[in-house]
Amino acid sequence: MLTKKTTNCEDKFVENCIKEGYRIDGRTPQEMRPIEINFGKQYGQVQVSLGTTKAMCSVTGKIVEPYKDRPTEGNIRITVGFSKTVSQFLGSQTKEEEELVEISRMIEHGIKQSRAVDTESLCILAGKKVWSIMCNPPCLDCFTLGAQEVTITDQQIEIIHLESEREYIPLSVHHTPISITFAFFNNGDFLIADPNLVEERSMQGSLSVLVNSHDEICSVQKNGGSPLSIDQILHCVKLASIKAREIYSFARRRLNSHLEIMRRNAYKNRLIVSSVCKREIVDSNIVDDKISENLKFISHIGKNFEYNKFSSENVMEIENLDDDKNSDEDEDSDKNSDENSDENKNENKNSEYDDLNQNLKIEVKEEDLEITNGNQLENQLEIENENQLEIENQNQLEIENQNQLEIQNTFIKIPTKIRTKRKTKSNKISFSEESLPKNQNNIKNQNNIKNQNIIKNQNIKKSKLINVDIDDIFKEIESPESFQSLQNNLGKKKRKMKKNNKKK
Amino acid sequence: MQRLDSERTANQLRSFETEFDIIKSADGSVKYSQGKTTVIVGVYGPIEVKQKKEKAGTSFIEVSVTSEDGIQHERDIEYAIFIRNTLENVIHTKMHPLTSITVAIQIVSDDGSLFATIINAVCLSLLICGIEMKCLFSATNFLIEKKNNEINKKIFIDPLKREEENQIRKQNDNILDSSQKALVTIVVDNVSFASLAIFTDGLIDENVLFRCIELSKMSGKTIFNFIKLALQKKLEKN
Repeated sequence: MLTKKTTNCEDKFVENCIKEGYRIDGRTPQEMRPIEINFGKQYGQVQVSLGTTKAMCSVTGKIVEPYKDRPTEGNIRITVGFSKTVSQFLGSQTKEEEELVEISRMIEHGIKQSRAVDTESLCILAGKKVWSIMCNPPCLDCFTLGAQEVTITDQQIEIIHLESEREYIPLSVHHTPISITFAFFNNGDFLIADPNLVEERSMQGSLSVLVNSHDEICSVQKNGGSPLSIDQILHCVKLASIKAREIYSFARRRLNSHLEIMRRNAYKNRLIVSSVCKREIVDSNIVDDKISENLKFISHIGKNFEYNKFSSENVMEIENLDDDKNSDEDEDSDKNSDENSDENKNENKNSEYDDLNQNLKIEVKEEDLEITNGNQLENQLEIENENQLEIENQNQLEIENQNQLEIQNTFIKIPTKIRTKRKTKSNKISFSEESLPKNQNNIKNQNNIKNQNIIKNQNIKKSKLINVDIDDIFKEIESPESFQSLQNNLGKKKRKMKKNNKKK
Repeated sequence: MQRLDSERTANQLRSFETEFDIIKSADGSVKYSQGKTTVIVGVYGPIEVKQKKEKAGTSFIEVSVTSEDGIQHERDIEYAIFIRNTLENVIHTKMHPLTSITVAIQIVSDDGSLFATIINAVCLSLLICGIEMKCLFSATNFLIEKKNNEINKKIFIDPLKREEENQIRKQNDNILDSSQKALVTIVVDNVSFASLAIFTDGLIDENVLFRCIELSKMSGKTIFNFIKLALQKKLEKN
């Protein structure tokens, strides 16, 4: 499509092959190329490839005012483009633009009808879908496939942006159309599915069908070319529906496994963040899971919050120490990552990269770097054991006395225990998701907070962990007094939430 | 010092990942990511050039950056110019006169320290493409932050996007404009660990800048080690 220069020899050769029932790359006429789906790091990013054709898509959402004639609906915008990494030398610009317009219109027709409309949020969300296409032998199917994957994977952010605070909600998608193109030769006598670049150049017309997994046709596109009979079109549509079902089930499977991974990571992050807030300290001799490794580091970080003794000079000194040790340890960790990268490769292969056998995946494990630094902090912070709160000691004793399995459970339940054992009560009711204001603003904030809590509780999902605004914690944890007040406020907020939920 | 929503300290980089030969039509291509920022780079070169652009004694370096929208924002054009200027000093352009070397960069996702990931990815892709260079180069982003409560400014390596941006969520007047932020990007040599290029955005003191340069040398070492590792693995496979 991008370059329409072919030779007569190529055309004839391709036609003759197809007449005899086989194709240049060894496929049967109705066979499609292998599909690979790779997910990006953030929600709403996918790369789909059909053979060597690749398409990337990312979906982002913004909060925007709705159109005046449709106040209850959001909108989608789809932009399609060939990325410059591929398209600099292929064809002239006008041809590219024409193709892009074709593709984008096709996608819009097929997809805009499928997406659900958001009416829940106060301002209405506008989703922007953005494509950038990297092509080798190009094929339309890839682009729409990418769109489908992204509609499935796109997740919305409610009010707060961090996944550690709220679970994301997926875009509600009614159905996912999947497109399949057919090329025909010899005035419509021979049809092949999923043409290659060479086949596309020498074809005499194409037909693309966007079909549902429920056997519903979303759109059919036939841009000129030699005429087809009705039987042939019906035949194509039937074929397309069968293939679309297969593709959809495959895509769903990959998506679900990917989402599981993302949720696990998000849960980990949530645990880590919440534990940092509450200064949970776990005995380092306990468990060998990954979570416990993170906890070791957390325990060291938790001690860091006692900044009574820290002046600015001390902070700079520690930075210096970290630097000198960082460089050596990073080199070591890079050497260690040889061993770890194999593990990573295996894990990744199983979950995400089954099909990318040719490509390389190398990772430097973040956890390795962290643990080495954690040991440094141990040495520096032994001095500060005097300043620990009584709560911590009690928790430590509890933990040491329990079994391994119970410990894992208690880790999750610890927030409740901290809450009950809280000794100091303060008059500060001023905790809100937005800020921890100082003593002066108590009275003003009480009223605001009640209103805010009511509004927010309607949208909040029940979660075991308390949703905490991280910025507040890091700004104001500079003395144990302020941290106590934080803990108090956390408990009060949770009680309020429970009350409100009970009322409903 | 703990960071926003991550397990790192102020002096830790995020994890790196690379994937080679993504784009088959390009002479060298790389998909590189630091944390969640990912970038795809395709290098074509040395290649024929139109008569307008050809230069007599050297090759013509062309850099283009496109963001996830597919549109070239001003920021992208700025990055492209910056990278081209650094590459002109690094690549041996006199070895291929009357040709062009094009570097096409596609930003896949931006989660902070975008500039550094782009530059690292460009270095990797040039290596794989086989273009002669005087040295390898690597870049790191720094965030310099000072809050009203604190006395000194603090340096954070490889900031997240949330750390770079001002948090506008808060509506209390006490907290808006409570921190002064500045961003620095420093590109470092492989041979002498001199700074090839410096890019700043915001108010910076001298001491802080020199400190950043020192830190960039150390982070440069780790990135060069990573590059070595990556290439070793690739060659072993072949």
